[in-house]
Amino acid sequence: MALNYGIKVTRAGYSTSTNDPRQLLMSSAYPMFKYHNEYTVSATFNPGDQTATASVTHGLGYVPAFMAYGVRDDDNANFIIPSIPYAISEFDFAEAWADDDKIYFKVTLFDDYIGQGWNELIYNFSDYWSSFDSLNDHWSAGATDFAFGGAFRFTGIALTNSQAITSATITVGVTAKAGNTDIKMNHWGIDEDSTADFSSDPMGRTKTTATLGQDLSAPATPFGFDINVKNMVEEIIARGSWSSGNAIGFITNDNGSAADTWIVARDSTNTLTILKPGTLTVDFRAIVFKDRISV
Amino acid sequence: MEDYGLKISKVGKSISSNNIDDLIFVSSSSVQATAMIVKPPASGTVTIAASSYGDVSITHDLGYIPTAILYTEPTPGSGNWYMGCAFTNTVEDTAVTANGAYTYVDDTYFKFRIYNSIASQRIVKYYYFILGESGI
Repeated sequence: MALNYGIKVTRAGYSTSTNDPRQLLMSSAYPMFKYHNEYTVSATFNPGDQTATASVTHGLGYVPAFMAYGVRDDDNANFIIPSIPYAISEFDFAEAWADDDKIYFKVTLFDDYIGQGWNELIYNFSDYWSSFDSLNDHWSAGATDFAFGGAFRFTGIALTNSQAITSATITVGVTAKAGNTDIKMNHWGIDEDSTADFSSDPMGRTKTTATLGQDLSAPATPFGFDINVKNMVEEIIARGSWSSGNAIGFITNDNGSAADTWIVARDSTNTLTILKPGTLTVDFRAIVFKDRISV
Repeated sequence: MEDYGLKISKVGKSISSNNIDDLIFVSSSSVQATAMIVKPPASGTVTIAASSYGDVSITHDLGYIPTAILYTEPTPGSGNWYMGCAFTNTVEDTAVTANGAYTYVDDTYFKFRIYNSIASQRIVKYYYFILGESGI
């Protein structure tokens, strides 16, 4: 007769003769995870970051079993990794993986799916205007035998009155150009609480004190270029009647471009990107077991 | 009242410690379950055609719903083993889906589905543990 010996520990109230593993706390017939160590590490999202990564060294020389957790410093909510957006009311997607030396963590903001990072607001334009032909179906800047400019409008700006911002940038998607010398421009904000749509000519609307001169060496089309509108946004949202959700606009006029030197943005993506100050830290924790994963 | 049971402490820690973190094992009545691995840990591979799903069905036959822990190596030969499911195929273009219609544990099976979003076949390795306590 084969020997049958070992150790069993049952839950309170159950017999050691049970065959139901759920009634056992320990049985030498079954292995248990063998704790190796616990590691913590942090990763920081800076404004605009869509992902953050970190790693810890377990140094086992093989791929171990592990469990991983995270906690955001803005809500102190702990979540198990992998976390799945919506399913656990987190808007992040967190993942963790192991190799034979390290445990790696990665968090991707769910907002990544619409192209936004941490403390980053991105708006596609709602209206544009060209004073070349006074039409609202494209944006333009430069000169033919006369100088002209354009305007952009963005709606639903989620900034409160005088809220601090780190940067504000319009990225213009240029689709056509003429000439080989610089496009010389001046940019302003539209100094209104919530500028109206461009069903009427916006070029005469009140301009902000903040302005920016820009000389642009235009490459072959299509291309994108940036306009730094931070000071203009700050001036507009500091207006007494500014409130979150208002519309914001910007005007560009020519500033001495040579004749027949111009750029046009038509049917392209033109965005306003605003970064707000402040970081997000995610603290990770991994419980690493000595149990090996191998195939 | 009788008070008996089994405690195992970490090296350098007292078994009289009231800090649960100092203990490797305790049979206190407040402990309802432990991470006992009731089925031999096992591995396998699943071949998934380009831009297709691969389904894996593992029979555990425990008669109740256990806890299952799954690790996969989405990119063959990478040596990177991920834990659990993903919401989308953001993990190395291949991931275990979180679709509960295909990835679940019942009282007989542990099933999971992997989506390979790349334009060529992948052979994905997996490794799993079946734990004794009920998953629900």
